[in-house]
This record gives sequence, structure tokens and C-alpha cells, in this order.
Amino acid sequence: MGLDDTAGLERLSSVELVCRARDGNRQALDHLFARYLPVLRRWATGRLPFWARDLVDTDDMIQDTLVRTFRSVEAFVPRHDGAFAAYLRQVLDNRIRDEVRNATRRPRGDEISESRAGSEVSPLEAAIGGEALRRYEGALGRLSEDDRALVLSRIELGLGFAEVARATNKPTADAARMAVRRALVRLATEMDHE
Amino acid sequence: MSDRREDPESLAGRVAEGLPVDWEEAIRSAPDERERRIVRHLRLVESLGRVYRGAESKSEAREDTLDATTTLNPVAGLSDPLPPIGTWAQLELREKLGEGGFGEVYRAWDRRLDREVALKLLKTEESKNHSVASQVVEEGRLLAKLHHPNVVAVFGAEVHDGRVGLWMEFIRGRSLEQVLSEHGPFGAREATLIGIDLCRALAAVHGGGVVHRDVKGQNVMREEGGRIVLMDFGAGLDVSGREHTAQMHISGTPLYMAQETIRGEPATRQSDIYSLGVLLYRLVTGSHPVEATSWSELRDKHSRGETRLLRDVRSDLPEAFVKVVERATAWNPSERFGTAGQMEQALTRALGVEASTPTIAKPARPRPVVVFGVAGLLAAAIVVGLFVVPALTRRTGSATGTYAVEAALYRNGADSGARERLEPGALLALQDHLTLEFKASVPLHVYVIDEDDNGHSYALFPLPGLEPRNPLAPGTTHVLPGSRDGAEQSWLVDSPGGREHLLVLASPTRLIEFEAEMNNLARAGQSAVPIPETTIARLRGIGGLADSPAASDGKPAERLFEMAKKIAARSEVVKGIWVRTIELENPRPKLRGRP
Repeated sequence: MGLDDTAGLERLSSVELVCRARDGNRQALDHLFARYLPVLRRWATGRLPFWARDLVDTDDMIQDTLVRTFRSVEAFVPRHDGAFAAYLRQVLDNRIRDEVRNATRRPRGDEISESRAGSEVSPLEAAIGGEALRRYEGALGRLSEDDRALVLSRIELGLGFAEVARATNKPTADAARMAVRRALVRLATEMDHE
Repeated sequence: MSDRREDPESLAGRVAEGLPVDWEEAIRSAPDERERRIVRHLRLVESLGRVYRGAESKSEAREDTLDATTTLNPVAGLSDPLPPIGTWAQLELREKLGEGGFGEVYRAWDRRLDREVALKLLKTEESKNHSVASQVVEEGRLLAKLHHPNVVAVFGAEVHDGRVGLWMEFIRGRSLEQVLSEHGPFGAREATLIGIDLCRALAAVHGGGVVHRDVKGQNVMREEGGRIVLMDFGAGLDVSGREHTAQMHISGTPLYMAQETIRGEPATRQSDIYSLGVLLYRLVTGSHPVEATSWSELRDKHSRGETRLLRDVRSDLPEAFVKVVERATAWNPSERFGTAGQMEQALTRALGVEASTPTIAKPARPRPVVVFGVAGLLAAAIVVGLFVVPALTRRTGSATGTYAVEAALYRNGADSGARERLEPGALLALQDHLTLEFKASVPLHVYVIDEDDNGHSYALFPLPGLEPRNPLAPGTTHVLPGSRDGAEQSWLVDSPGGREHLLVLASPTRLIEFEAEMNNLARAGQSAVPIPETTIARLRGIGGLADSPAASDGKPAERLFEMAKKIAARSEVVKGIWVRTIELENPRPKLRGRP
């Protein structure tokens, strides 16, 4: 790959980058990692129970998840990068659940049960409670694909409005700002239906 | 906050922007129950986003912040008996603890995370000073990334209602200055131990890119249970920003300041080290190396190098301790310790314990079970299991939080490469090679000792000349006793001892006194017993140790076991020390003839 290609990759959507990565373009793969690793790391930090995080290398898990997803993404044709990010989030969430299940099968000492029980929760559950988290997840799942991508991009992944706009095909950052705002109201309304 | 009612879309906009919301007011002013619920849902989403944003800044070093109190601290879930006297952001202010030129300090309750915190609120006028406000917030964020048991855990810093606030772990205990005024000067040993903890704290602070700027007795807490905690970074900022330019009466802090800082140069690691030296000086004397009652007098004395030498004030103190303090308080920054770690090493030496590779202090006599290394390989093993340990006090929250330990003892087939995990009570045999696999989620100081029914005892880890050394790096499975020149070593059972009692102890902090006791033990690899040629061939890696005589009367280990028990009993609540004993059968008749 030449330098011109590298510069051009910055402007490509994630979906296009995935296609190139599947064709063997290493730089496209690197770009995907650079684009998603930080946000997914941050996201996973909130999701992994503290004790499981001790046993699982978060970065390894995320990288492995990304590679697997990129390889099998033919079956998924997202409308935009925001939907792709939501897809990645779901895959990673499944992976975390698997890791947690595996970790709980490992042997442990008797006297740790009390402390272990206390650390079963993720930071999110600790902060807002398991019930509230399930309510949120349920409502999020019932939102439209666009609204879900908006909420995830801004609230969970912490993207700036310009990035949200790019990820969700909004013309401007202000348009993305308004869209997120309305999506949040719809999310809160949906949470009330739980 | 404004009294103007905000509808859900407006609130959603603030959530989207990451702006603060007065949720109590928003809920109160909602026109009906349904909208109140919607507002609460938005609040929940805002909390969720905050956790993700918090994870961004804390993921590297402060992952225990939520865990320490919300999951391990039973007290945290209880409602505070005192009614709130006000609110700031998500904090209910319970009690004013102090007030100074910079603002106030409160004991507060974090409603979102259900934990007690200490909140430092800058005064409104200070908060309006954009430079100071942004500095405090920025430094608070840096500190929130720090993770060290001797540094107060900072949970966050932000501007709310026009005031800058920094909230942190609430420590129950007394400042060193209070202890000093109540009980008089400290002894050299106690001051040294405190100094070692503070050196570690400073090393962590400096490693995080922060200079404390205000190390002094009032800013170091001795928590109930004994933990030494460095506090009060915000005050340091305040002081460094103003006091050294003012002509004012000296209130205490300037007496800890290095001459270059007093002259207006920026605070540095070396100026922190100077302040720590002054603190140690003060702990053992009740005074400061440079005493003055005004800035001009202080500057003059510094410029003339008028320092009261510690040896002149306390001629009874150990020379090694005096030298450490004098070097730390040297006038020229370049003559001070280059790093806090170097100062810690010097203090440790002053205590009579070598830093990472304790020396063998006593000659040994023949021992029934000796363990030492074999090149090449194979793990053998026993095991101890998987443990997760609550690390620090329930009463105050934790700077260390939960950590996980996996430890397993193995028997390695010397020639076959076979590897067997040993359970407690397993039968040992002569020539068994043992290794301990140890993995933890945080850096830990690990100690392994062995005692048999004959009263003979041995230090099995750490061993001089072997890698790894303490503290063991987290996230890696270490095979102990370690390796030398790349060749893995193992402990060798070279004689029957009845029953072997292995003690494995791990601590987030170094156990200086325990190490000192360990120095009285014979060490694995030392033996006056002739070693079979075949074994020697496999032991080339630590052959030098085999020549050293070793002696043990059994008493040191008994002390160590007792000490470990006490530490363990205490640690469940205070120190987060992990202790396990493993008993293995090593009877005389059954050992013979085992391959």
C-alpha cells in the first residue's frame, strides 16, 4: 500500500474499510482497530465485572472480537457506521458474557465467596443497578436502528457530535445533536413502557 | 441552578451535551407523575453515560473506584444518619470538616454511588479564577488515574454551580501532625516506616505526572488500622499559586518548602522530596530544619543555608536515618534523591533490610527439607486455589479494591517432564521438585516460607539472585522460586521433615518487618548437607548458594507464622493481605525409594 492509500482510508466508512480489510488490506484493518479499539475499550471497561476484568485481558478480548467480526461481517450489511458500531457492541457484549460465564466456572477458595459475590457486578450495575440496566437495555433494543445508533454513539461510545454525524449519516454535527436529543427522549419514553 | 422548569427534551439536550443537571429540581418541577418518571429515566441514562466517560479516564489505573465501596463496603449501602446540610452535584453535604483560605472541606455522601466521600469545595472567588479552576480540575483528573494504597483515592473533579469541587476517599484517622502533637516525637524506626510508605506514595504521584506541592504532617493521614495516606493535593495547588509571592505570616506550610520553590521556581519532584525530608525531620524532632516566623526571615535563612542539622537536634538517632533526611533536605536540589524510589531504597537500607534481595544473615545448620532449584523446568505442583480478596478496609472504602490471586503448587518430574498439582495434605518424597505458580491482578509482594515438624524453617521466596523479584507484576503467571539466567528453578525436597507447612503471603505493600524476620531464616539453596552429584548437575544455576551454611532453630518461622496470622487477621479489614498455609506430608519411611 502506498501513502496515498493510507490518507484515503481516513475518509472511508467502516463498512468500506471492512471490505478492504477482508481483501487483505492490512492498513484498512489497522484503521479499523484505531477507530474502534479506544471506544470499545472504554465501553468494555464499564461492562466487565471488576473481578472478571482481573482475569481477562480486555484489549486482547476486544481485538479478538474485532478480528472475528471483520472476518464474518459479510452476513451483516449495516446502513451506516453507527449501526456497525452497534453491531460491534453487541458482539463484544456477547463475548463478555461468555468470558464471565467461563470465569465463574473456575475453582475458587471458600472464604472468598462473600467478597466475590460483592464484586459480581459491572461498574454499570454498581452505578445504576441491575434492574435499571435491564430496563435501559430493553428500551434500547426496541428503538429504531437509527435511534439506537445515535444513543450508542453518543452516550455509550462517547463520540463527538461530528463523529456521531458521520456514523449516522447526519449532514452536520448540529443535526446529530438534535437527533441524539430526540432519540434520548424516545429512549426515556420507551423505558417507561417496561 | 435555575428555577426555570426544563422539559424532557431540554433535559435530554443537556444529557447529550454532558452538561450538569439539577435532577432533584427537574423531578420536583415535573408537572405530573409520568413526566417525573421520564425525567428519572433520563437521569439514569445520564448516569450510565457518566460511568462510560468515567471509565475512559479511570480504566488504566483506577478500576477499583466503584468496586471498593459499592460492592465490598457494607457500610456504604447504609444511609448516613446525619441529614444533609446542602448539596453539590450528586453529593449530599453532611458535615463541614474544615475551612481554609481556599474553601471548605465536607464529609459528603455520593447519592449516585452510595458512598461516603470527602469533598473539597473551592470558594466561589477561587472557582472564578479560570486558571486555578482548570488546574484543580485537570489535576483532579490526573489523580483519579492514580491507584496506590498510600495515596488518597480521588474520585472526580468538576465545576458545578460555579464552584470547583474535588471529591475523594474519606479517611477515618488522624493526621501525622495530630499524632505528633498528641504523643510527641516519633522514634526513628516508626518514622522510617512512615517515610517508606510516603516514598511509595510520591513515586506513584510523580509517575502519574503530578507534583504534590504540599507534603506536610497535616496532609498525611494515619488511618484507623495504620495505613498511611497522602492527601490534599488541591491545597498544594492553592499554596503554590499564591503563597510564595505574598508577604504574609508563615502558617506552617512554607516551612516545608524547598528554597527554590520559595524563590518562585516551580514545584518539582525534588521539592516534594525536600518536603518529605522536612516531614521526617519534624516527626522525630517536632521542629523544622529551617525555622522562621516570616517569609523574609525564611528566605534569608534559606539563602544563608541556615539549617539545623538533624544530628544536632537528635544525636541519638541512627546515622543511616539521619543521612537519608539530610540528603532529602539538601539545599541544592541536585544533591537530593533523584526519585522517591531512591529515597525509599535508602530508608529501607536504614531499616536494616535490603531493598529487593534480602541477604542471608545467619549461618544455617542441616535441614530436613531444602528446596531449591533445578534447571529447566517443569512445573510441579500443588495448589492453593483461586481466591479473590477484599483488599482494604470496609470502613473507609479502598484504594486497592478487590484483587484476584491464583496460586497453585506443583510437583515437577525432574526427568519426565510430568507435572502434578499438589493438593493440601499431598505426600512428598525426596527429590521432589516443587514450584508455585502465582498470578495476581495487581502488583503484589509475595513471601513463601516453609517450616517442618522438626522446627526447621526456610525462606523459599524471594531468593537472592533469582527473577522475578517483588513486587510480582500483575497479569502474569509467575513460576516461583523463579529463574536464574533464564533457567527455571524449583524447590527440591532433599530430606524428610515429617509434615511441611508452607506459608504463602501476598501483600499490595511491602512488609518490611516481615522481611526483616525472614532474613533470620535459612534460605532455599543453602545447605551443609552434601548434595548428590546428579542434583548438583541440575543445580548449577544457584550452586553458589549451596555452599552457604544455614542455620535455623525453628523459632524465627514460628514468629513468622504468628506474625502472618496476626497480619492476616488484621488484613481482612485493613491491609488486604492474602495468606495461605499449605500442609504437605513428608514422612521419613515413605520417602525412601521414590524416584
